[in-house]
Amino acid sequence: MTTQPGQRLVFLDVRGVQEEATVTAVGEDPLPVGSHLRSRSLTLEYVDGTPNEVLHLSPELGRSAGYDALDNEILAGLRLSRLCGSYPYPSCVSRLLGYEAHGEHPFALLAPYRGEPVGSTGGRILPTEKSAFQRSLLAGVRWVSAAGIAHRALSPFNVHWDGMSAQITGFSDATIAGAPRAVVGVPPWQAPEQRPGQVNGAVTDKDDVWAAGRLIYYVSTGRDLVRGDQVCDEPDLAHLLGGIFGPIGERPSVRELLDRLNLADPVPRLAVPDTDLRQWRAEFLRLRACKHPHTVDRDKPSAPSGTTPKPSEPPRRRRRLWR
Amino acid sequence: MSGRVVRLDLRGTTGEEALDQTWTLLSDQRQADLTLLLLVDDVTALKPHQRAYEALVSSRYTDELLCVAVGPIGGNPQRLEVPGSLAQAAGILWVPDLWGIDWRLAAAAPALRRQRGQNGEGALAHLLDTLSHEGIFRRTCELVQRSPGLMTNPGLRLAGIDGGQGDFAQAFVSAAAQRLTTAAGRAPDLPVPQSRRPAAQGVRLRESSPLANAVEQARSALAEASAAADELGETTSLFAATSAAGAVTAEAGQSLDELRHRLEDLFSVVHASTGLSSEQHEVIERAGVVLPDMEEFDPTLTRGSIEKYIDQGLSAGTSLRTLVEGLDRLQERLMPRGGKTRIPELHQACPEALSARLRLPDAMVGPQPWMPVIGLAASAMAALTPFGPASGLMMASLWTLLVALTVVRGPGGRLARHAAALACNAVAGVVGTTAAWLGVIEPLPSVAWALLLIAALVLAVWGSLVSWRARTARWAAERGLDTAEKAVDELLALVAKAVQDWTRAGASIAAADAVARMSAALDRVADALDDQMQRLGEGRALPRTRDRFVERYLADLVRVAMAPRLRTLASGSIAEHGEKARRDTAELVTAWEEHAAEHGLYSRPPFGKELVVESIDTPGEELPELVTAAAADPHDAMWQLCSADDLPLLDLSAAPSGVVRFAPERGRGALEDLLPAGTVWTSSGRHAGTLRLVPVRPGVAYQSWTAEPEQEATR
Repeated sequence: MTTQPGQRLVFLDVRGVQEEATVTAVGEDPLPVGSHLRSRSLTLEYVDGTPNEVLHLSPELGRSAGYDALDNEILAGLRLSRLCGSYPYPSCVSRLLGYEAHGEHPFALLAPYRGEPVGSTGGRILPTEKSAFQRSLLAGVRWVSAAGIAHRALSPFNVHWDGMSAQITGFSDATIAGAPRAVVGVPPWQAPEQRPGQVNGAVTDKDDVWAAGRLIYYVSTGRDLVRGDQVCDEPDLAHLLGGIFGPIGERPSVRELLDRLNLADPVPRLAVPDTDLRQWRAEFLRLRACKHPHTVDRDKPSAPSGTTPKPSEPPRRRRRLWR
Repeated sequence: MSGRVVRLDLRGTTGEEALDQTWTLLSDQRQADLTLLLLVDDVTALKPHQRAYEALVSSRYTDELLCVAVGPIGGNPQRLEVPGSLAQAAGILWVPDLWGIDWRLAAAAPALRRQRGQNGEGALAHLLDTLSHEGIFRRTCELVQRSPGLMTNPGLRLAGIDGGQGDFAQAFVSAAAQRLTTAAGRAPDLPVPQSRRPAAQGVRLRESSPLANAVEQARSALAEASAAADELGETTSLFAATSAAGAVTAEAGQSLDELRHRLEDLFSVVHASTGLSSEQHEVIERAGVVLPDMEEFDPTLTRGSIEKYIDQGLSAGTSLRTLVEGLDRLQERLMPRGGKTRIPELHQACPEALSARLRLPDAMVGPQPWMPVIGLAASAMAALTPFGPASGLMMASLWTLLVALTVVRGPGGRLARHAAALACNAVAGVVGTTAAWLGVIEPLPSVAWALLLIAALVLAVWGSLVSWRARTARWAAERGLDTAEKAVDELLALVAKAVQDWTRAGASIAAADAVARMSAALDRVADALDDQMQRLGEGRALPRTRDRFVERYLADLVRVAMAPRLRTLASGSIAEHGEKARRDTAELVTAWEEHAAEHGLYSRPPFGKELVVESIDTPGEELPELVTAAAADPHDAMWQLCSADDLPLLDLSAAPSGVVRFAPERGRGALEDLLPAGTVWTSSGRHAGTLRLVPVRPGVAYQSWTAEPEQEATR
């Protein structure tokens, strides 16, 4: 469906409250190649007359991968929003404003991304901005891991930079911590455990650290990381990135990386991931299967109510909710 | 005579206007030399402008006159009336078509059209430009006037002009490919912009500050240790109380260590690779280092360096990607060195081993191996007295005591460590005594044994003093006190360098930011050229030869695209600068494309500079191209300045009636042997080619001395 000026959108906000708005302007906003989502910039006028610029994401027509991608954006956005709760929403991750997941034409509405993808300038940022980039990127990764998810596809094309803060966007490949690993991401930003032939184990909060470290090296030096020991050639980076590119068992967590920068944990101590999302997710998938059976992969276990498949990992980990 | 060719263009004027313009030229005081006059006129206006020609010819200012008559000859049959005044005085080149054809000089040779524009002068511009050189002008005049017929039609082969159709897209793609080839050219030097502030001559420490106190303490402790080491070698040190040289030296070592650790701590904390924070300022202040005023970033210095670098790189044909890499390297060099990078230099200036030698001095070496010989001799001499072995044994004991004294008085000296040496000396004394006692048969006179006894005493004392001085000198040298004193100076020199880094950090990082912006902008200019190259090059093959004119204009385009970036290099984000540079480049290329379509490929685009060919050097790689152009066979395909319809008016039986070959004087040494005799050597840096003259058939153009009706009416 093509969104057009004058069209009325009905959707839920992140608290589950129904909202209505009218589209007053539409613009294309292309996403990186390979994304299964279509993106447009919209200007919405809410019922109370408030205008708002939003990013409208919808699945590419005729592709079930697009529905999966949209699901992941919505659920990642909800997890982050609910983790944040009443605290100010962090600028270092994209923000879900609303969604419509059950209708004939599902979509998600996000706050416009800040700045430009850091890849659009070849990874170049000002030397004075490098520290701020490192801090804000790691803060974003920390928020993501605190929400119990992993982005799995960090790259220069979905990490934005606006001159003051990095922003992690593009959660279409995200999954929940504890889910079995899969081949995902694009080289050279794929962590070794996400590559074909090397996939093993379950997703942890360290899965995004590899790509984040690589991105920090790329932006700080303007060079690709070909060997792990290249980091030792940069004294300032060797301290921060030490251990990231070795075996995953020795990989530091994002909190350790923040400690190396003498930064406090950006996630408030009282913020916890919303476990109610589990039930919500099951209901969501049931409705999706009813309305769009072609979007549900019948070979993968669906998530009907009460029959969540158990992960193969130790039972204390979260149950597998996503694929 | 100046040798300058003056041009008078009378196209588009009436008879009166042409006469006015002619009188204006002739009366212009600024035109000192009109001896070489290149007249350009419409072929249909030759008769109406007769009076203007008469004015020129009859004036005493003109000498050689060459007329380029532009436009087709009308009528059936096609005939052209040429005023006698002009025909008699000038050589006439006829250019019926501005764009010309590619044509081989043969009756049946086909003609190939050249790219046409909406307006503009096409081949004519190149002809006029070529004829503007004195040597070429004179030779052409000479040949045209010798040519059969009143007029000749010129054909051109020029170096640097694509032999193909003059297609903008093709020429642009070739020029852009050359400019984007990574390996093309070497980047010019790009030094770090030098600060206008003179280098600091030393470090200033606040009085009584922790660092100043540590320096003072280290210096005074080292001075005290040096003094103690000097005193140690004196006679009094052996016979007076035990020297404190060891303890004083150890203290000096500790002070030196303390100083180095303080500096290590300072450099570790003030590790500012992005400029000093307020906390780091405080740490420096507390340590007692007096910082000069922080250096301010001067954008004009950086702008000037980068502008010159890009200009030189573009002139040298360096690829844009190589220039970008050079800017990236400059950015790295500008990044402030953090204090931690100076810590290895601290250790180099004051190694751990140096302070360890002072803090934990080795014990003084023991008695030399030759000392028992002294003891043996002294004891033997004493044994020759009437007291016999008693005095000898007394002397042996005395000697052994002296040796023991040299051990215990030395730093770290312990008798137990040198027991064997002491025993050796004692035994030597006994042996000497015994040998003397057994060897003496008769007692010596009293004077003799008295003298022997004194000599034995003197020998013993002298021997012990020589040994003491040698061993104490060696001990002092091994401490390295001189080196330690220099180490303090070197440490302070490092602090001065660090202070310079700190005061320049802000300016350096701002300069690095500015360079980063320009590097990103130039990179995006390259991206934009690549995009345009892809767009224009789709489905086209690259031309075989490079078009130097288009390459020069492309370099001007890059300069113009970068100019607004350079003006604002001190602010803005990388994304902003990159996007604006990309957009400006795309707009300039589009404007150039439109301009070329309207005015011709070689018409100077709005952003292009006038090509001062004299300023263009002739690189060796261009010599084959120059030779090919200047030694061209006049019967080969050339750019003939007519259309295919005009070919029947040319007299091929007498063609070519003249050939003018020309090449740059600067390349004469390399070219002279390769070009035919009679080549005209021009002052132009790279103008080279062949001009052939094809006569017009007799009867097409005819002389006429009749006036125009309007001229009759004014008489």
